Amino acid sequence: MADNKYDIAGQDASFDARRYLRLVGERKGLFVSIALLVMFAAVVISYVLPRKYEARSIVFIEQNVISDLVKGIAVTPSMDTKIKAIKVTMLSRNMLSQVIKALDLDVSLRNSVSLDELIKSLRGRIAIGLDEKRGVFDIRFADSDPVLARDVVNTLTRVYIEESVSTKRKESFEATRFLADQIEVFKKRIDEARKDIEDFNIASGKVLASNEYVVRNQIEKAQEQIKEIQIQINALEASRKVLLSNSPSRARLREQEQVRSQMLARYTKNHPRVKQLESAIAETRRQIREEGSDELSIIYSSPEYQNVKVHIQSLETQKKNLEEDIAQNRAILDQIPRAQAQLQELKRKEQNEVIIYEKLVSRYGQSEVSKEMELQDKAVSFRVLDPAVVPTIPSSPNRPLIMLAGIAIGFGAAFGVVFLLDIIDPSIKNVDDLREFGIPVLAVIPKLKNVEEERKASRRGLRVYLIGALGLLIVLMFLGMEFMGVGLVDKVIEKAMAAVHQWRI
Amino acid sequence: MSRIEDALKKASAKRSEKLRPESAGTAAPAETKIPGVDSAQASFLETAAMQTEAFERARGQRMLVSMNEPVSLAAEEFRKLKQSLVRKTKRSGFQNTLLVTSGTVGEGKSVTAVNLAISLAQEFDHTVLLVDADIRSPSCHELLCMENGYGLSDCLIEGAPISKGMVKTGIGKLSFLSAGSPVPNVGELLASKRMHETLSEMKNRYADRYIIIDSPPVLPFAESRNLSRMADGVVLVIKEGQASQADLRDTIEALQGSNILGAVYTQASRATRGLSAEAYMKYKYYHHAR
Repeated sequence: MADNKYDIAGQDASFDARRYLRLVGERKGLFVSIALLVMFAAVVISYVLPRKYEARSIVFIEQNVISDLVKGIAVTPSMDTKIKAIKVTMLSRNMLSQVIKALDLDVSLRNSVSLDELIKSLRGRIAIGLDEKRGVFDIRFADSDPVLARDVVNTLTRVYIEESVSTKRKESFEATRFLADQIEVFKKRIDEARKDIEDFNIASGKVLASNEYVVRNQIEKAQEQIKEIQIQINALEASRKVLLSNSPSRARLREQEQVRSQMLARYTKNHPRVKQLESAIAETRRQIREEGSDELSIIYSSPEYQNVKVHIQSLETQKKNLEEDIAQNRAILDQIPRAQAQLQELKRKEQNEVIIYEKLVSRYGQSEVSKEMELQDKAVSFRVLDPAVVPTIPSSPNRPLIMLAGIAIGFGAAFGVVFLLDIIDPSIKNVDDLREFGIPVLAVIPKLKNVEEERKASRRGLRVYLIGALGLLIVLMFLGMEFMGVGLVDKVIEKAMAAVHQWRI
Repeated sequence: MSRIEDALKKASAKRSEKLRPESAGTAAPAETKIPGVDSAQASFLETAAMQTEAFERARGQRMLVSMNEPVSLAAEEFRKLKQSLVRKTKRSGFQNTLLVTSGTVGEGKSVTAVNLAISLAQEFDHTVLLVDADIRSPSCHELLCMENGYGLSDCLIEGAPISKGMVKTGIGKLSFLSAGSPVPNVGELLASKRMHETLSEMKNRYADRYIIIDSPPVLPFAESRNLSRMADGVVLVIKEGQASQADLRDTIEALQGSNILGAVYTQASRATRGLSAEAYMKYKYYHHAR
């Protein structure tokens, strides 16, 4: 069963193909004429189309020196960006006008409008291809004049490279100058930083010089001394009091009071002796009140008292000094960490400046070298790998392609027309069509043979096929000539043109 | 025409050197052997002689495949057509008038009619009358290599019996009624009562006779529409790649009221025919058998 099915499917397919072949066979005249017409049209078009020659140069891009040089210090555009910029730069008005000027293309121009148009047309026809991986780009230009095509490509390449080299030189100079400027600036900054440190040292030299431990010891010692002095002072004060209380009236008062307390132990207050004593005490007191100062001044002026007083005063002064010392030392103790932090800060600042400065200085050296390289043209960043040459074979029209396309389209169009005609044809072409009308098909009668007519028809068919084959052969001959690069037809055309030209004159 | 004229000339030349051609075996000359003939009979004799000649000529007529190429695929197809028609017409009584027509001009009506008639006539059971009703442009006589002499139109106009125009062809039991002289009012003539009567007379005269009527195309002319209703059955001839489907639809509509027995698909290309292996083998088989 499976085999059977397979067979049926195969039959269907072959049936279809056979049907198409039959269609072509039925309208072979039309088929051949359409196919040949298209093919010959393609041949004619391929020869009539204006010839264009394409010149091409390949340029190698080398990495920029400056960008490596200033890497880490400054940010420079990457390679990718530069490559992308090439296209824009090359097709810029400036560039193209330079090319036009260099090639005297503007001689025939009348005004600026046509210059604009020329630039526009150049821009449209110049093709720039980039191969980022290989670091290569190529410039292509097609024109009917091969020499002009070459010149345009080479001039554009030259102008661009010159331009870019000069820009790079400028860049390099600028980089060097920039480095020099920066070095100058940083040197100043370093100097400033150093001066700051110095100033600070001067300003807080004592604080910075003093040792914290020592200061603390000093404070402690001073405190001890103060304590000792205080003791001495206290002793002297006591002795001074003693001296003061040693006046005669006071001594008598003290004695009297002593006696009174003794008497009171034995007697009452009203005892006459006590009363007597009381009045004596009062007398003494009055005496003290009235004559006390005299007595005191006697004491004051006594050498003993004076001695004590002086002693006390000197001790007081000593103590005061010591206290001042302590206060001072305490203040210093407070200042020491802050001053040290400040100093550290200043030093760090200076250190930073110094690092950048040193870097700049070293880069400056490199920059000097690269500048020299640029000046001596040793750092070329564009190298023309393949300069454009005068193209000998026209790039367009691609005649073999057009002819091949013509052959293909010719066959295709012929098939298409035949099938289209078949599709539009509403006539009954199949027994199955009849079944739709519900009429039983009693017989299917093949075309009756007419030997003579058939022979005629086959002779005619043969003739048509022969013509077709001959036409195809001719087209293939043209195609072959174009493939081999035989410029026979071109020469013939040129000669014919020349002849026509002469005849006209 | 010129070929036929040539043939006629050749035939007359032959006749002059040998008055009685080799026709002893055929049925037609049997009647002509009666001696003492009058003028009418002389002319009949003449006609008979010419029939014989025509038969000889018809042997060279390539369109008559049923007669000249009996083993061909086309002859086989005509045989099939005949068989199915015989089957169809005998199903309910004997419906013996068959109209052969088509939608448009040149689809092969006459060829089909003539071949069908020959195919039927070659059978032993049937006599056949082929009537060329295409008076506008008759062609059956050309196919049979006969003259378009006194025919259908003349009979109808004169009111003469059909037998007056009937000619034996010498091919089996096939008689032929040619179209006759051209008339301006063909449509009226064929739609007339007389035509109706004539046809029924033809139909009823012999029980075993088939009457095959070749007719003009349906779409351009009116005749076939009438004739189709008079006939017992209609055979529609359709040529490949000729009439459109719309034409065919119109044709079928025009033939409404008649009994369309079926279609004959002519000029089939190999692809359309399907070219079944069976058919091919049969073809070869016949060749080998011959």
